[in-house]
Amino acid sequence: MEGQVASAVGQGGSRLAARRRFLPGVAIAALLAAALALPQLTANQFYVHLANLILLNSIFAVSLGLIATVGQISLGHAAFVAAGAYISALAALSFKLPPILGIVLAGLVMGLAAVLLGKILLRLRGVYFVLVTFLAGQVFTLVVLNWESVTHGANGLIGIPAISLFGFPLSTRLRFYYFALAAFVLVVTFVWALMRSQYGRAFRSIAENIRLAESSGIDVSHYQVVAFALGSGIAGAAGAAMVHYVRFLSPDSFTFHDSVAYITMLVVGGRHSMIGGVLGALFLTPLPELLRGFVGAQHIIYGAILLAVLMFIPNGLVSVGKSLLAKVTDTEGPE
Amino acid sequence: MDYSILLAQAALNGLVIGAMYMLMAVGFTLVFGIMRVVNFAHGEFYMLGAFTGFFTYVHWEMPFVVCLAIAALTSGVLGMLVERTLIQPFRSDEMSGMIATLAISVIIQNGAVMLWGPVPRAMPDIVTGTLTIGPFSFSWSRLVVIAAAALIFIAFWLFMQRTRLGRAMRAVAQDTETALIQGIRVNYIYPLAFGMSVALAALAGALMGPVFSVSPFVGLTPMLKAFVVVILGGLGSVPGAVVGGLMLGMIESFTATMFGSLVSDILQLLLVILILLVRPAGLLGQREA
Amino acid sequence: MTALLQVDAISRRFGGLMALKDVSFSIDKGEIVGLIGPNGAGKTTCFNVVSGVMSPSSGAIRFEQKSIVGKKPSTIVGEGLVRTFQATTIFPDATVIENVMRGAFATTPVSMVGSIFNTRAARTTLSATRKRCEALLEKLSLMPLRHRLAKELSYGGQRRLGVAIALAAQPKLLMLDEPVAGLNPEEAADFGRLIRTLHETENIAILLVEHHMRLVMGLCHRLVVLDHGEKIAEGVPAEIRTNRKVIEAYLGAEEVA
Repeated sequence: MEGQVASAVGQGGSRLAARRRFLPGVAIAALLAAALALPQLTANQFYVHLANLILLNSIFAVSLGLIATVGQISLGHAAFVAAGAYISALAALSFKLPPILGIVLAGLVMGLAAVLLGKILLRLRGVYFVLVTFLAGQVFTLVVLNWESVTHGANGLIGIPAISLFGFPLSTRLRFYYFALAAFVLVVTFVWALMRSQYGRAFRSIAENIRLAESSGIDVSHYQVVAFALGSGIAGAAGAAMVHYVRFLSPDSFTFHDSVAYITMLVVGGRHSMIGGVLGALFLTPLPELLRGFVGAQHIIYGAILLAVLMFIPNGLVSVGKSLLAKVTDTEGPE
Repeated sequence: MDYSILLAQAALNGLVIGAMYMLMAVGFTLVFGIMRVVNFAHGEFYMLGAFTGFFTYVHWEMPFVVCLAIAALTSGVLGMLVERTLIQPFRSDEMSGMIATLAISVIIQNGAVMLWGPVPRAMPDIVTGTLTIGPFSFSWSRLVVIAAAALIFIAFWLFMQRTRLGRAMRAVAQDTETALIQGIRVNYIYPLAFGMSVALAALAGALMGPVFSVSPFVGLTPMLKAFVVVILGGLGSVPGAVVGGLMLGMIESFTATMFGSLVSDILQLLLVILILLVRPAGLLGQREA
Repeated sequence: MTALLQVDAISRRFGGLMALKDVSFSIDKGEIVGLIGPNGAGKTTCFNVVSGVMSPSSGAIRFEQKSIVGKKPSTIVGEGLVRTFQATTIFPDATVIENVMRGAFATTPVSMVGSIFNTRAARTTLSATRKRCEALLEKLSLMPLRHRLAKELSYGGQRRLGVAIALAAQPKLLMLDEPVAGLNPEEAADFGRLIRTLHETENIAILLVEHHMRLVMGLCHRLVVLDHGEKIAEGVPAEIRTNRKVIEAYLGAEEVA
């Protein structure tokens, strides 16, 4: 039975192979422990807030990455995030729907919307798909801005309730942190399992050679829709989670600039790897917060980093990590 | 309510907007046709043109024609530099190139915010007064914009059709490999085409400065419209960009007059999505492989 | 005797051009049939129409007596009709063994959801599929290279991999699109022997498009000749070789020996 470890170039002795098999598990356990302990290390609420943003952005980026696994880049991802947020916020405000259910509802509705939209939009590939998702995102923003009876337009929605688990409200940054961490682990685990399964096999086939995939019995349009629906559904749910944290929502909360930000995170982290979105979010989320003093500078740096990564590290930070890891492990075992 | 006057007004505005869209779209589609690059930074060059026009006309008080020339030249040169350094590395990777232009647009837009601040500035009309024909009156400034855009396009058209360089560009757009074999220096054509394309955008920005205001955020909408036009007319088709631009201008003007600008915007975007699905090559577009 | 593949009067129009006109032929189990004709005769279009990549403008196509017109290529593959492509035959960034596992996608009876949860049943099924794929690689002399990236293979190796991917789909009828184009005479002869061996061991019917006359004459039981979109002859190689119309069609156009 083949080891399910991500494509390690299996050379060298069995001792090395055994170490390789355990290394990811140990690393993940260590990271989790660190993540759980994090809030104890700092009393500064700002860092907890930052951690929450990183976790949420990771989910946005990873969900975008899921759509990217079938070779499609969506420039309208923020619209799905926003739509999920509005659905849950409005459900909570108008129908007193518990936020935790609102999040589930947002995910399901956006997933379904993506299925319907995807069947039409995914017929387009490459550049055309990017353009049409960009335009669709713009339509959505316009609608939200002007459908004032429902969304309160530019004024936005205030007083959105926090998530409540068994009567315990997640009304502080710290409490939300543990929720966000759990959601993050859930999403990342799900996407990892998905990509390791036959679904992942189908997605990658489509991205690498769409004609051959179809001729190998992989129903391309079906699996593209699946990827799009799952990615958009997760994004919608995460948007809902975010809105019950920030507790305010307006058309400015998630815009085209956010769609660009998610793409930036994905590309910087590494768009061909699952943890690319996480790395990108980890690296880029603190930037605007740290550079808050310099108006406009933070965005310029974002753009410059994106450009630099595209030019010099096209496969993102993950590829840098992989080559470092390869160097380290190659010097150990017998060759 | 005199509908004929309303319609005439809408028609004039439609031509004005259409002229701008046409200039934006022609440049955008030129770059796509020749280099297969979707330039997300196209709108930012429009914005730079608007600012250049503003500073040269209002602060330095130069004749407007000179202002236009300066706007075109500065943007053109900047465009050539950008192509050579930032876009050329992505020649073999369409998607990465597109994301790169996204990054460039972010940098330019926020650079403008840092340099000039986010507050919009008003630019006075180039010409005052109106032309009156019977019951209809048209403002001269609008007519001048239309005339200028027409002249610019004619100059562009003559360049593409009559000059060696222009023919070389068309050859590259049709078939890069064959053009290379024929000895056309593709490495010179690309920056030149890009420079020309953004120069057209800058001219549009300078011309429209008095019509819309001048701010760092003024480039997003024209770029959006350029997309719409180019998709209507076909990615890579210059005639399509002209027809599409004028058509969109008229559609926008009339629907805005009848239903308001929001509905007009939504309708336009839905129209595009529809066309993309039914006929992705656009009304006059080239067939994609 | 009912045919495995029955093509009835298919036509295909592109704008004003009739790429195929009323082409009919059939293929029985156990046959190797060659589709030949000068350049531009419509062979590739015919291939594309039969495999579902394009739909015919008119006519019927039946596989195992069931109509396959209008079905997605991926569905047709599931029925047992599999094709290879002349260009871009592989998944470049995946390993050789993964390439074949992807080819086996439609014939891997694993529950999709089960594979997400990596259930025992899923693991067992995938393991069996893997063994099947490795056996295919063995037959195509690719086993030693199974962990290499497909794009690193030689041209001939990529061609063999393309066949392995197609075979992984367990075809009843395998359609080969110019399998030896670009191979030198020795490689081409080897490939021909390989096809004949596979035909016998895997018990599959084969339809191939080729310009390589020696290969075609030596390999095929029967030939169908197209010219300008129409079928001009059909028969055993000996007959076709001396057929007047065929000779004229080839002499009138570019000849590829």
